[in-house]
Amino acid sequence: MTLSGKTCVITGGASGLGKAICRVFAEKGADVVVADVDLAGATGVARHIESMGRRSLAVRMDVSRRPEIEEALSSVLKSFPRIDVWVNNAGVGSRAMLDEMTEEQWDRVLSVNLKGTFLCTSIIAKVMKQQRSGRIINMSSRAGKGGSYGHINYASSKAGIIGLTKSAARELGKYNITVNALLPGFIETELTRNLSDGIKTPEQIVLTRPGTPEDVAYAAAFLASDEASWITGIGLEVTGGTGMFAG
Amino acid sequence: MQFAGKAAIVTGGAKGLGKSFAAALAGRGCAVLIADVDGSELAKTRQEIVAAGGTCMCGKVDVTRSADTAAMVEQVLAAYGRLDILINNAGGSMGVPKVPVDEILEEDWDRVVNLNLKGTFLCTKAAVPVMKKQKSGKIVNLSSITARIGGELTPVQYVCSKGAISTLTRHVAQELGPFGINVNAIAPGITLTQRLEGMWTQRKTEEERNTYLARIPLGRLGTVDEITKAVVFLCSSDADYITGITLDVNGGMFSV
Repeated sequence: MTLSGKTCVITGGASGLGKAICRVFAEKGADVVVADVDLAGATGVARHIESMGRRSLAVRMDVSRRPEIEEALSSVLKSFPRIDVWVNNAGVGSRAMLDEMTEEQWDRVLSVNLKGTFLCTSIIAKVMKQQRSGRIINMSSRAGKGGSYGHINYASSKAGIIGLTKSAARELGKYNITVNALLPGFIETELTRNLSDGIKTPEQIVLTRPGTPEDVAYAAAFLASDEASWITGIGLEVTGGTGMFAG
Repeated sequence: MQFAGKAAIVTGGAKGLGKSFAAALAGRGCAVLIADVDGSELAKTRQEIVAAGGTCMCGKVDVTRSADTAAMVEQVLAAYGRLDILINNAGGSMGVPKVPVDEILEEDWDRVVNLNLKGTFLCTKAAVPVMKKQKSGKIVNLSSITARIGGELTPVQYVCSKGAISTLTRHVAQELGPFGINVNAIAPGITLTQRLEGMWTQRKTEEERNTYLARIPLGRLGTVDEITKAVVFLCSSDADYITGITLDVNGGMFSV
């Protein structure tokens, strides 16, 4: 599988899953645009990718703000003639039990995770429609189907991303644009490493280990590649077998 | 070579999708046993794979007979010394068209469910002891979009057996995860194999075909190559953390 010659934009690319996606995409031959609110972090990742012999660019982007996305996109298009793959990975969490969760917590998580994915998808779809090709990959979560104890804002945003993905897939298929979601299970990152065991593994992981960011990145690379040309509208579970959904 | 040093069994491997899966694995360095009940095409398919530089042997196997499936696994072990990948591809509707449920012959129900479901079970049963010992393995089962939305060209026994294959996949994945064995299924939409292309044109009018295509966001049927690449992904180390899923490859027509 190769991403050679493809330009890929990864939001939230400065850390965690996003950083792993940037690195794995570059390993597979892609040029990578690292978009993040943390420009310094994004720049560090971009330098690393350049050291791997690929082209890379860091841009500042708050995905919940339309003008920032549009501004970042126009600067990307000055350096790269087309955008083949856009990964909506930027996301946040903010835990609280249902009756203690503040409206601010709800709004912030929905705003970054769900509205951010909507804004980026609608903006990049215009570019990809003109190209008559493209791949959009959205970061949902197993929580989007199974729920999450003490994280109702997060699970709701991730469920929304599934509906967004399927709807966008229906609208954009005729332009040869695929839109798919990834549903990771428990993945060990800087953010999740310090969570208590009960939160980490509420259910048994069939493959008996937590996932790595690379596990998710390889699945993203598959969806981004030409290998997945007849796959659209799916939610690909990368969970090690945690809670399997029938259908 | 992505699969160098590995060995695979592809059932129904003499033609169609199975032949394509076998050729793709062999082309990436995997030694392959192609198993098929139809002996006539086996040798020719093997020759093609070998001529392309692959390692391949044939087994005349009826997947509904446990003696055959046990011998198939012994054959691969004797020749290659290991078994890393099993693709349970043998199956089909055995020429039975989409007839109403009240007109289905009991023997047609039995034949199709036996081939698809019992065949998948027997091959899995034969292969699993080897994979457990190796503490690794990849099993890919063939489900179908019909298991999601009902049959367009095929009768209820085909649809049910494919649905059961997804269920079997989830259960066996849970059981075998602790042994480092991944078990997944793929659910293709209507794909332009020789067999399906015939059914598609013979069993549907042009108007019916256009109505169906309009329901597919990508606006076209799938190719053998597209299904093959998804199967290769599930067999690869890139999918090491994926188990128990049914991967929908259907142009966006439906997914859960």
